[in-house]
Amino acid sequence: MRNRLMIVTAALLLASATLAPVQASAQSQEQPAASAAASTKGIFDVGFRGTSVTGDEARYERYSDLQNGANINLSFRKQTDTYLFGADAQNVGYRDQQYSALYKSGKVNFSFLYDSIPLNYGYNTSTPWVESGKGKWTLDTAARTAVQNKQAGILGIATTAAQAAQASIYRALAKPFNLTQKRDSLGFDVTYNATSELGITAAVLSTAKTGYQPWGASFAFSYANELPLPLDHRTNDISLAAEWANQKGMFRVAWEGSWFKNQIQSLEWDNPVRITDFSNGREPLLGPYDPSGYSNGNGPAFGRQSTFPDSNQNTVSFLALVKLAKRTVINGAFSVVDNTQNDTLIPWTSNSVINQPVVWAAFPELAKLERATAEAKVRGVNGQVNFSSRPTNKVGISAKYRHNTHANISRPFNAVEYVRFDAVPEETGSESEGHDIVRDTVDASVSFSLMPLSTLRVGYGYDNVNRTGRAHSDMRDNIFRVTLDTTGNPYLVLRVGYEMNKRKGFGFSEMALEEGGAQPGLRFYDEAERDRNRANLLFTLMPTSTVDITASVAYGKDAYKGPGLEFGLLDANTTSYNVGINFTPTDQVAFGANFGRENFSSLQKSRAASPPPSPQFSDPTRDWTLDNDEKVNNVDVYLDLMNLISKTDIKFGYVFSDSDNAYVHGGPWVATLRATLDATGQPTSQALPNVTNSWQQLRAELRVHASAKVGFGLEYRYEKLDVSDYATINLPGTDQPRIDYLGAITTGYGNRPYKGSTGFARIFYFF
Amino acid sequence: MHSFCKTFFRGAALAGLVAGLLASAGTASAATSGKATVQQAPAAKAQGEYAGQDTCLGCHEDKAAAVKDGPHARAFNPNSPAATAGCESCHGAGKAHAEAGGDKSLIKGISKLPVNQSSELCTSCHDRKKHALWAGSQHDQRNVGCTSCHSVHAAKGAPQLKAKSEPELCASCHKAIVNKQSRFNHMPVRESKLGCSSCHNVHGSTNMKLLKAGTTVDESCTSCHSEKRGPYLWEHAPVADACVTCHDPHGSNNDRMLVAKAPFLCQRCHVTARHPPTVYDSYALKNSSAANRISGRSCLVCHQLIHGSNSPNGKAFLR
Repeated sequence: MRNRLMIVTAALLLASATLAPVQASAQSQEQPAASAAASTKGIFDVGFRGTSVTGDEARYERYSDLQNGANINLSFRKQTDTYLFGADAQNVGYRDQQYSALYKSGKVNFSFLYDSIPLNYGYNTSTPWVESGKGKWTLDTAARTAVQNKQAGILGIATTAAQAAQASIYRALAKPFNLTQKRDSLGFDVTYNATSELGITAAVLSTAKTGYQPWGASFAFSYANELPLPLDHRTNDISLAAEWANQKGMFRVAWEGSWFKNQIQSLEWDNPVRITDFSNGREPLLGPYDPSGYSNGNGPAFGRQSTFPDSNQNTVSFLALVKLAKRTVINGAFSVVDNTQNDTLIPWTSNSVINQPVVWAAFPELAKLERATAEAKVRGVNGQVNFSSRPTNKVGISAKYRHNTHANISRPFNAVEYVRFDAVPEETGSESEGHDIVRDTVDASVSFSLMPLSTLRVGYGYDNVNRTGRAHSDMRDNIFRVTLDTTGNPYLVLRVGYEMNKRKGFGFSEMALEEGGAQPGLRFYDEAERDRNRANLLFTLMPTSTVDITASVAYGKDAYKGPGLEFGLLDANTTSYNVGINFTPTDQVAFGANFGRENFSSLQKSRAASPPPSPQFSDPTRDWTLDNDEKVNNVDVYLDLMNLISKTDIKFGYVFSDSDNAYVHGGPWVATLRATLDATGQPTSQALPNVTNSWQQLRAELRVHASAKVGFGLEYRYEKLDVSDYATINLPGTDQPRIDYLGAITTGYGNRPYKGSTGFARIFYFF
Repeated sequence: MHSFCKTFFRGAALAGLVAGLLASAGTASAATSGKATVQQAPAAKAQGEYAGQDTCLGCHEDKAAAVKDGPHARAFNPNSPAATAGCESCHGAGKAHAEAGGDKSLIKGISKLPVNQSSELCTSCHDRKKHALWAGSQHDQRNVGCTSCHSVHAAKGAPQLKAKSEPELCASCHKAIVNKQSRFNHMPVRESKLGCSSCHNVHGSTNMKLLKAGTTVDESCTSCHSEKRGPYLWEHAPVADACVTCHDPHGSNNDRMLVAKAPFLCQRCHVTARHPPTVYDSYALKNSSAANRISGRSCLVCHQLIHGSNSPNGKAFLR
């Protein structure tokens, strides 16, 4: 305590001692404008913050740190004829603190940034696993033994509704913890302006992520687990660039290097339903593992999975621009990207029952890895050329060509045999496959300013994408666009646009689908043939200089089609409307309100079936559909009263956003399920409830300028979230997380409501 | 109380040191500003058709007040108006305008110019770094010019924006996109940790959708989310193509900013046999272990390595 007091005292003395000379020097700078152009401004803001939350406090904070305590912010700018210096500090000492500085002069520009961004998943999460080392999670030995031995009255993971009525042994063992992570970024960049035309820039950015995030780590279909994945990784980015520019053109060459390093490259965790690796003493293929272990939980005692591998990326790029006559500009860019990853591979499995000669005799590829490291590599070559010209005031022309190559030159990895869930060795008959993507895009448009203040533009685009390892080898989009923009009119802004996009597929391979066990009528929507239509209209009316009224509407429809398409995403539609008003009757009063409404809908189709040769696979009576329909409303309102009351600024703001998301299953198979009753008399298909949420935030701020140097402020923020999500599982009758629901042991992370208030009281010092 | 003390002392100490640092900088600059006064670049003078800045300020003093703290007034930058012809760097030679008593037809009123002409004026200087690819870019083609978003004399927010913040400005046209920051799952834009320009270069870029990093959607996203960059031993095909196949980067009411809720998003592509195309609804949620495929992390409780796996067993992204 005494040391803290000394530190604070020293800091305050330093600050007060140096403020006096600044004030003195500021006074000495009050000279006629012609001889001294120095400008010094800043705000030092210190106060207290108090927060109160009921419900999901982590969701209330989410990306911020609003705990009770002092709140300090600082902003400083000094500009003279020779330099500019600025510094900012926000939320000093908290998990979301940020510090920045910049210095600019004729020769050198420098900037610095340190920024922390928390991501708070849950403060009411818990886990029975104990972190015993980096990336290692262990469970209570006695509990695992009891579960494996099926001790009477002991439940590990519920697999039936009846079992779910009782608590798992792991519920009582779970310890609460805060499931949060934080991203810390530290960066510098320096630009040296060698001449007025030549600048050289160097930048460094180091970003670290620490904490935990929810992570799946399962052993079988019926026995899923969710753990906190520990995070400890860093990305270091360095860039160097030289840029030369004059009135005729510019040229830039740059190199960027990025190194991602993960300190936790694998995750090991105990199996909650096994303490020993299952063994039935039989020989392959009937043992010694359980051939159904990936489903019934007779698998390993612990599991191991890879996490994020270290990787490097190097990019060399060139950018050039030349200005020609008739307001013509040609610019272009070219880059080569080299991306490598060569981490040590984890073994095939942690399961000792599988790691033995009798199994290797049946699965020889599992005796050892084909190679020790990943040898993964991707090379990208990218280029674009843009041409833009306005030969007359009435006509404009633009054209663009872009090329992207993503070449995966990783050495394929032989995985004709593998181990599923660390439980069961299997033949897969395949090796790893990297996906190459080559994209060529051409775009051209012509604009006509035939009417005063209005420009009509028509354009055409052609996009050709070649991919390996997909169902289509080649997709081609033909895109037609027309827009009308009315600008420069003091009373009206009108923007209208329409785009039609027809996508066709070539080189379709049914074998590619069959290899993945997919229905031959499936089309992957990111590469399926599609008709896309999009239209939008934006209208802003400004009857006077103090009022603007805006209305906008947008419509989009994607219809997936093409020969043989039967399954997958069939269509997706969006519609949005917004209407708003801004009213600024005086410099002291500003008011605005906006209402928006959006609809999203999609239809997808599937077939529930066993694989061939089962007749189910081609039985249309087993088809089903999902109709997803979401409605969203947005409202935002603000009122600013700036010095309407002498020396007083008052601000109010209100934001509302809600969503009603419906998931409706249909089709012959669903009808069959709904007509089929289980042993308890329930239909074997029941509709899902809608997922809804409603978020609103109210802000009020009062600032009183007691003098030119000192002010006082009060700020209040209230937020309320209501949410209903069937996927979030709570203990019956409560808002508290349940970690031991059907088929899984989880952390309890989910979407839950809250009400929160945060108040600030602060003092400002202006200088 | 303990955490309050810790935070308060930490913050006060840090703020005091920062204030001390800044004050020292101020003192140093005060010491050097005398030299700066001597070496100050002379204000743009009357010469030829140019009236000189003093003449302009004789009538338009309010305009100077708004500019003086901005980048156009930085005389140390040899390319800035303050180091060249002052007001007339942008508005053109003004001697005739001044001698005619302020005839507006004899001077360039930037806000009165057609959008593309005012943009050509601005880009006569702002033609490098992030402005290099302006000509022919999406905004340029739609007659959204420099003065549509920026104001030199009446800026409300940095940098020289006509609104207090980027989202507020961008919302004037892209309201539906900006509304997504209020969605249940969103990037930290409304928390002021990110802005539109964190991902986009609205002045033109080498990437699609005016993304400023890289040349593909994936390169842009993985410039921050580098743990997803790979390349992995086992790739998930749509991941290698574009993150936006599955995610809505502006905000979503689905977990992890997905464009649709799992398992339904996954079931758009995984129409095979056995469990992927199973109907997961309230019956599954309440009656069997299949609930683990529709509650919580859904498919990702098993297929966690969905962005790619580096495990030899990573074929199905289980390990």
